Amino acid sequence: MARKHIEPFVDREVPFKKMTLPGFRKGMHYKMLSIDEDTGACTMTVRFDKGYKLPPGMCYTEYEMIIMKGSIKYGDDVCNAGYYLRVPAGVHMPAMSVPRGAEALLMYNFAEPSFVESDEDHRLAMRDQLTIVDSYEDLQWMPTSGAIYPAVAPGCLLKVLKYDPLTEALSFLYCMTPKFWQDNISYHDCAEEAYHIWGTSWMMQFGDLPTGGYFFRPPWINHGAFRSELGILAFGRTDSKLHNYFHWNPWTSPEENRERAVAQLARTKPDLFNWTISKDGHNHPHDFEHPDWKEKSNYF
Amino acid sequence: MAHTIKHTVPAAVKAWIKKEIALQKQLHKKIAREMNETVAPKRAKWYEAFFGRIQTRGFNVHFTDRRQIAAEELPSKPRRKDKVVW
Repeated sequence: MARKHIEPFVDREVPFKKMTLPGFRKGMHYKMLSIDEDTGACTMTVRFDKGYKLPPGMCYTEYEMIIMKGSIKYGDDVCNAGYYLRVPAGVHMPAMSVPRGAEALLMYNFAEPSFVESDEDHRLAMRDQLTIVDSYEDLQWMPTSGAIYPAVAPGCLLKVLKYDPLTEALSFLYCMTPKFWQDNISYHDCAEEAYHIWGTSWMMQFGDLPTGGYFFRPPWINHGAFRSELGILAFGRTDSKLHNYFHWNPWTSPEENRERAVAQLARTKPDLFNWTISKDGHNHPHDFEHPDWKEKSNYF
Repeated sequence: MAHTIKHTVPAAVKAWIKKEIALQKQLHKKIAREMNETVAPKRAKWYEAFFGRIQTRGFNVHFTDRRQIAAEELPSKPRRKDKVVW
């Protein structure tokens, strides 16, 4: 398992620590939310002090950031609260400055945090995948029913920020309307991670998750029923395709849930299922389109 | 797909990762104790209330679709201890 099951964790209960890693300048602080034990990939709440500056530079791994408070300038471009950035490995960003201070959720996806001063992209950088979007102002909420079956109950809405066509991993902003409720228990084949930007929701296993609440949940772990009294605004993501397996037995284990998921695969894709369980050695997955694709870690 | 560019990780960074992993292990232990043990009696009541709701208001099947679960469809509590953090 790449990251531990951290659920629930409320970052308001712990203080910020100084970021002292090489390359990062004085004035950056962090709270570690979860870290991958194999790669050092991690998710942190970060605070940049008023006046924080970083020269142009790049990171060796892809990172995602959503600004929650204040604003950050990259060159002359101002990113306010609600801005989402996905910066692929090796893509250099202009000089960063934080005139009035800011707080953000920062995720290093496949390796430890790094910063290297540079005013040009690394030769392996995939600049076409750079995403910078104002998720509050420039995107609208959509119900999940158009994209995911079975879907969550009406009142839980999405804004998709990132979709990986190879793994079907998603990053998204989501909200629950006031008085939202959903009476089922869910689990997925993917790991799932979320952070409450604002508001409190309740899950039957873990109780209330307030503002600043976070979870990293490995695959096949029960969660739900769900409700929210006043609504929430949150950021979430998965490391591969999100499928909702709904049921009403709160006592099942991840192993039992996984077996049920496989039984569903056998029903919905019987030929593929039979081929993959073959014991004669022919069943090594090979993708002719991406023969060298072997991402060992979870997506993040 | 170069999600990560090959690089050398400095010793100071390796030490930082090691320290953060150790802290995460402690945090996980604390959360598991709190959720699996302390909250368990409260959660047993939440399960009972859930069983009540899905028999009356209904179980959420998909989006707006719901169905009422019959009493004989409800699961029995297994002998093992309830666990929610793994």
